[in-house]
Amino acid sequence: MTAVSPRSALSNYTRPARTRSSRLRWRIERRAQPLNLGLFRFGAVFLGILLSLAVAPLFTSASASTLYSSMWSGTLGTTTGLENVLTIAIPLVLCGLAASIPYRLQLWNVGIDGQIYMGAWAASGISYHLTNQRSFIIIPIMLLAAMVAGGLWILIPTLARVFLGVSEVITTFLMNFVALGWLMYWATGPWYAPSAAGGVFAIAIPTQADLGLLNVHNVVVNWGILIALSLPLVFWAANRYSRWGYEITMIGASEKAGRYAGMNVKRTLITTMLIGGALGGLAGALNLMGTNYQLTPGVTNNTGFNGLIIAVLAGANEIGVLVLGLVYSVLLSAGDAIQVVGGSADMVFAVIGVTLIFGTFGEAYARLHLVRTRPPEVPATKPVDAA
Amino acid sequence: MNDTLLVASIASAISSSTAVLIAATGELLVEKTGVYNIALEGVMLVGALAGFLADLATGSWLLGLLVAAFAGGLFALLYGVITVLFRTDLIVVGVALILVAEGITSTLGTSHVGQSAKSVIPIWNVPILSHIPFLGPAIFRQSIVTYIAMLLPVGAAYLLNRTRHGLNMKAIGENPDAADTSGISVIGWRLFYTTVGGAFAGIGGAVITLGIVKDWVSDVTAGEGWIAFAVVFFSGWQPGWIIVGAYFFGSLSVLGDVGQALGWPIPSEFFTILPYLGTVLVMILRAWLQRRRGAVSWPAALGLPFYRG
Amino acid sequence: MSIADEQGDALALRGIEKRFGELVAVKKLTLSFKRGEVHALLGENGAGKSTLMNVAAGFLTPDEGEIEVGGRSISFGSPRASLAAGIGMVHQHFRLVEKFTVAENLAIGANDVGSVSTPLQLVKRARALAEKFDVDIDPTSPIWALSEGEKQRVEILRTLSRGARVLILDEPTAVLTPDEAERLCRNLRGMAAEGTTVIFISHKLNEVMSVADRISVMRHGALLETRHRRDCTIATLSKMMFEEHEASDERLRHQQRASGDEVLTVSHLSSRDDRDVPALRNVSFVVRQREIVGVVGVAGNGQKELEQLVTGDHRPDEGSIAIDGVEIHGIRSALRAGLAYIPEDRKGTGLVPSQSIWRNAILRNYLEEPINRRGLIRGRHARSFASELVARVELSTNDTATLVHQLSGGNAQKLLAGRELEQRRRIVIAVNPTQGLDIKAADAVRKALSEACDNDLAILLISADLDEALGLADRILVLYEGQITGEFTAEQADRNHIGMLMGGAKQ
Repeated sequence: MTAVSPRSALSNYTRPARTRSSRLRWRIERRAQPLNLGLFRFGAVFLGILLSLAVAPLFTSASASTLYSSMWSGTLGTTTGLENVLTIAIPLVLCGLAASIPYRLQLWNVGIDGQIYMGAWAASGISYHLTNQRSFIIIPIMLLAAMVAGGLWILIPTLARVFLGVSEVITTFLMNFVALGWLMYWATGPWYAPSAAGGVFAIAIPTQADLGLLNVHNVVVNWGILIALSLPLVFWAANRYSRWGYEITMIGASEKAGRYAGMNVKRTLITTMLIGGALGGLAGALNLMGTNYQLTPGVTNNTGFNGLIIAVLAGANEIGVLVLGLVYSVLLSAGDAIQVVGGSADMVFAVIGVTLIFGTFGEAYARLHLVRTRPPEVPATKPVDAA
Repeated sequence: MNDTLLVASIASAISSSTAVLIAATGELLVEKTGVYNIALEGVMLVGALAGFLADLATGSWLLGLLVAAFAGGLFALLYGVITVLFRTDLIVVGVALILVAEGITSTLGTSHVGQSAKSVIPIWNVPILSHIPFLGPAIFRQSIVTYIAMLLPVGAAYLLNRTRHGLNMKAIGENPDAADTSGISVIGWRLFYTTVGGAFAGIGGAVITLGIVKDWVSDVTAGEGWIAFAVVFFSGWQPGWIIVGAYFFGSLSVLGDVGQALGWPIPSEFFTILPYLGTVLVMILRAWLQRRRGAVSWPAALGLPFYRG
Repeated sequence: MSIADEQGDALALRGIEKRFGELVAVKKLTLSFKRGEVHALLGENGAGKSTLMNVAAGFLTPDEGEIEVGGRSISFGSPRASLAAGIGMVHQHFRLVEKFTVAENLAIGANDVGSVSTPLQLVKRARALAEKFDVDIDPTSPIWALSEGEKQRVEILRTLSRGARVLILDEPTAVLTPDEAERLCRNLRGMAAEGTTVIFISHKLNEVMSVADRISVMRHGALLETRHRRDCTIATLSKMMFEEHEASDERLRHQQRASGDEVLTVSHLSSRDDRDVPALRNVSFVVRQREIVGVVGVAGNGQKELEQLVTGDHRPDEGSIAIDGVEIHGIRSALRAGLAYIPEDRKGTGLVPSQSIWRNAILRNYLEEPINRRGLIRGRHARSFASELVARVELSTNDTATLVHQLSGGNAQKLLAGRELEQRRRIVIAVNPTQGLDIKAADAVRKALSEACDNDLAILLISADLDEALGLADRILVLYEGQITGEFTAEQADRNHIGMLMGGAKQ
């Protein structure tokens, strides 16, 4: 961008025509046919995990064998570990769906944490008015309240996006903080319950609202796991075989074509986002009713963000969300386990971060390639110009 | 509210807005070229720790700030290389890098938790002006960094609107193909400004550890990075509004503390969420008011990866 | 920038090869351009003309080959390098910043703008440039407020002001009025006279014959021949461009049809475009069953708005549109009333390229039995419907799982037309249906339209190509600046007269 005379500009880019070799240059270009995206994404994440496992001992005081054995027993090696994995998976998979369904329409639901808060808040709040009801009444009502709250929470960003074009990335994201503030107000104010353990906790929900436990081969998890395992399949099937799924596929690929076909694009965008919000709220309720039993800011623990990342890495494929969600849960559970033997939680986060970046690289590799110019086969025969 | 409290509040609001102001101005430049740095919070954290450690090692806050700028710039460059050069997904990489930043800074800083900064950014009483009753103590007894921070958006405005380079920069963010055809290196300048933005954010982080909070804890930035990010959107990508946004949000947090101290019936959380809620509402309002224009208010290519041809 | 002391051709391309995956778009092509000539690059769709010129201008990296300017080899791969060497290209889609003014766009990346400058200085500089290169522009206008022709002028001016000595234009007259096109041609000849090499890509034989010094014909990625204009006639050029068939008789003589009842009634339609400029003024006409009505005009005279209104995409400010007497007010009501629509933007609107053929095929009837039952799409029925469609239009492939983006432009259009021209429809809106198609595909589409009309459909043809309309329409309406300025039946249609009306003559 500096002033350059024509002659010197030319001389930057020319050399006598007789030379054979041309300067080798590299450039990143899109591939004409992308490679199998799913394969590369998963493969890259897998590779990232292996690498992290390999270097993990370097970052902790424990020996490698202690580390690996504690990881194993903390995840798949023992029933406790397995239970931990599945318990983590419940909200995580739901958050993955909460992000992946809007993502099919290229909409970003970055506000899942906020929807979790609002869902848990609504479920808590309504439970306080139903303390005398039986389980089969109180539980569905709470779940419903949570889904409605989650949906309402995403409504304003959605309407702003659909009618005014305001980026939903920013608006949904900012609403997370608003939701946290809202929850903190209630948990430290009107619903405050002093807790011996310290930390912010609200009044506990009635015991009838606790989700019961399932026992399969001695593995005991709350039955929210059924919801978490089945919803991805349900949505996958709906996407493939239902009219709604067809419309989402077409509109997601081309909004213009959707309009052209007479589809109500705006309505589809809105309902899809609302479903995402409702799923986020549901995740919050399940967390509340299955694990924490009390409303607390810790009800999310960044699960919403993790869900979003899972959704993007899975390419919005619901089965991919399920699989990747379970893998992620194993990772997080392993992270919990190694803290006992000297690993730090923060390093776990860092490792997860690196793994994710691997995943995006994998996808980039499938989409792009390095292009190199080759020297010409026949030397130019034009006479060299007197420079 | 009595006078001393009001004066102290205003002074506090101004100084605590400094970090956000610096980081937001940097991010404005980045976004004008079409990239948004979601990892801003992570960059500030990196700068906060780097500056703190340098300060401890050398006893100089100035060196601390410089090291913070360097560290922040480097970290942001990493983000830039991964997203701009390799065309990966901005949001995933940004969030991932924040996790990495949190992990690393927390680990490296564990031995320093609670420790105070050795040399803090000094307050400078502006001669004459600082003696004006009421206004003096409120506004003219800040650190030199704060005063420079106020000038940064002015500089940015000048750069963007009055210089040839600023025009070229904006072109990258609006229509990278057009800039590319005109011989401007899209990838090169995007990486450059991502780094610059990172340097700014790094300095902002160090301002927190060396000037505002003056010590280190693992989450010392406490969301200021996110506020800075929100301020850029709040401002409609206009430097003047960055100043308004940064000070407005800074005042809100101070108001929250003041309100609690005075026992106002408004819960402090209200002030905590107001910046975020405010940004959402302002964005919606702006979009609604400008709905008839032929062009959008944000840099048209914001967030889109660049491929030639 | 003077390269008068350089020897040799202004631009030489040697052994250029460019591949996109499996497809070889340009095959080891060698071609040179002389200084100060107007050189036309001719060829049908897909011949590789744009690809070749994008390589020359640095927008694409060739897989093999060399580029030489004035005898010196140039390294590949960036528009910057090519522009520095004096090669500039103006594309069909302009590379302008919508938000900026004309003056600001001219200043992007320019060397002669001061490091610090006020908007006023930029405007002054813009005016000086406009005068120097004899291009008419308004420096203070933002780009989003300009017409396509004005934007093109800005783009050309920008390229010239950067010192381009070789100016490449890709289908430049596609968006111009006949007046503007003529003016452009004069400008081009003027530039050539001053030593600039002008290369323009076109498929319009008339234009090429009137402006070019030399003409190169490309076919399937290879150079067929380069001739001087004096050694060519339209007929010979046409033969060179297209292979198996003899130079197609573009005027597919249509049969006389007895038209039936009114199907589409457009009454007193008035509307403003996105810039709040009146785009249509009191337009009224009817289309009857078994009749093809062609609305001709140069792009930018209200066709886009007419297309949007008639298909229900937008609401008119005044007036109404009715199908079979029932007023329509939106896409869904139009579709229910029997509207079919072959849009100009076939792969962007009419079809979804990233999806399979069968999913695209059922776009119109995915809500009906037997494809849809109780909210579920039944794959088997959908696929068999698609197979029938594919067979009927003689698509190049019969695998309905093929993704649409893998189809050629011609095949995609055949698929689209086949889907829309279905018997149950009442009125078909076809916009530039044969644009950019090779002769075989264009003939197939024309035939499909004609047959559909014989089968009781009514067709509204909106076209910027007068020959296309003359070949198909029973009646021709001329649209100029939002008004119908002329109406002709097929017998009355006089090409010259209509052309003049399209350009704004008042009779």
